[in-house]
Amino acid sequence: MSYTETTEIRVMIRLLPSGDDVEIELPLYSTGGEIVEALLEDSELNLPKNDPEGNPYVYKLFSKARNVEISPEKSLFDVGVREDEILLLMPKLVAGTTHIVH
Amino acid sequence: MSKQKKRISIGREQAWDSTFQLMSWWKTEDVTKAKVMVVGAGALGNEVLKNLALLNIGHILIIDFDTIEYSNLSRSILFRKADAEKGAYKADVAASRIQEINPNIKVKTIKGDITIDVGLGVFREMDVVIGCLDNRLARLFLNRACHKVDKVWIDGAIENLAGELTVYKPNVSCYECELTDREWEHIRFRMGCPDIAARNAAYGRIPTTPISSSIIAAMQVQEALKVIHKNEKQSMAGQKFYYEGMNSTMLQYPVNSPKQDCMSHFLYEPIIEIAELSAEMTIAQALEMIGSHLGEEQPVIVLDHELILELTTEKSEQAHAVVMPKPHLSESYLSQFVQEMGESVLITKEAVYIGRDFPNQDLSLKAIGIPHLHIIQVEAKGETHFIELSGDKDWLQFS
Repeated sequence: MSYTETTEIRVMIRLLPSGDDVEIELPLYSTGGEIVEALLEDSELNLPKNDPEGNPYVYKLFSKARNVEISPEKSLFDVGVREDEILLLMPKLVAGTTHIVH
Repeated sequence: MSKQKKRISIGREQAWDSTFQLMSWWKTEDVTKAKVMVVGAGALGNEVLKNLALLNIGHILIIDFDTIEYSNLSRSILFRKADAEKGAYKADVAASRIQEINPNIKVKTIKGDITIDVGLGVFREMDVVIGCLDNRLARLFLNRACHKVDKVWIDGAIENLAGELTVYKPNVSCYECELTDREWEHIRFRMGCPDIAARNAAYGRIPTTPISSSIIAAMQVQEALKVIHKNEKQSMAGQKFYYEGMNSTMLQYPVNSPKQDCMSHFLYEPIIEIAELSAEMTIAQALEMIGSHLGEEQPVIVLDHELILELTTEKSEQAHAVVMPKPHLSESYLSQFVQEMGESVLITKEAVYIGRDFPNQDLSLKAIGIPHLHIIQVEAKGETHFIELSGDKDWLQFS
């Protein structure tokens, strides 16, 4: 089957830690960065953009079936994502402590 | 006649790790000789330190500049309410408590900022480094430092019921290579903060739990044990482990290969050890010794950070001669120079290259921002040399 720039694919985005599932259709050549950006901009999803202290959350997209992170510059096609696969959206973790500076 | 019941023990006291010795791969000598640096003594750090002590890791270096707050107690097995009431230092209390747990181990603490107060030679002395940090800038620094001296560092991060572990090994995996544009924006913003508090602030209220810290810290120590036992085959180097407890999700996956053009991929070699060279020496003494060693009359020390030599108030235009390593700058320090309300204090003179023409030759290397047992860059004979302040090795005493 040949794919073009406009070929679309349906995937399930699972948001962590809420566990909510969101079904979306998007071009197969969408990159990880583009997908995360679009999900962040979606007002219905209302994903937090900043942590409680105002520092930016950085999200990553993960393909469970391929066991690989879809990095910002890689597309779904590059990674081999198929129709109806589950992709996890999770924030990159930073904390290791609770730190108050004096 | 009454009979006395008396229990007599004959034989040697059991070794602390007698149970671990039942594991075929366990090497007592490697474990008791091991030196492990733990950066951060917060939620993750507490768990890491507890596990290292229980496992009888011989030498543990704890780095943290923070004091204990009441809110820490719910995630810090080593701290108590009295410690918070006193405002005791996390590093000191953690060191004391793990030695109560296991009197066999030796510890050292550094109450300082990992980005400016810990010499590269200290990293070089370690078998492995465990990162229990709370911000990206410190992780970036740790990554660069470990790459310079070819050390594995094991990163942990937690939030809520989630946690993540990555084993960074030079040439296999790299924290800097993973950073996205958005993360770089944030890091650059932090790097631009002249105030030490502002650079380190603001990650203070992310919710963490003893559940995620227990899991991730346990795995960090597991991976540290593999490094100590030189078990490269089963190491998680190049892998990331992610756990999310609310959805019972566990992932282990490969990280991307290191990129070609990354600033972290810089190995200091060869490292020249000068046995008498110390951060306590004056600039003049140090340059003399280095010059003699390299056969160069005009060696130049290249500082890792700018050294501020003059501050000038913006409106009142008063210039003040100072000697302050830029990362040590703080708003409270600058405020002493302010003459008119609301005026800024500008840096009007700074230096990075310290040679024989530097005016204050009597200043110690420490005073210009070079920590003990650091590995300094020196320009001489048209080349860059990496010289360790090996005279400070005694400073790194574990007790």
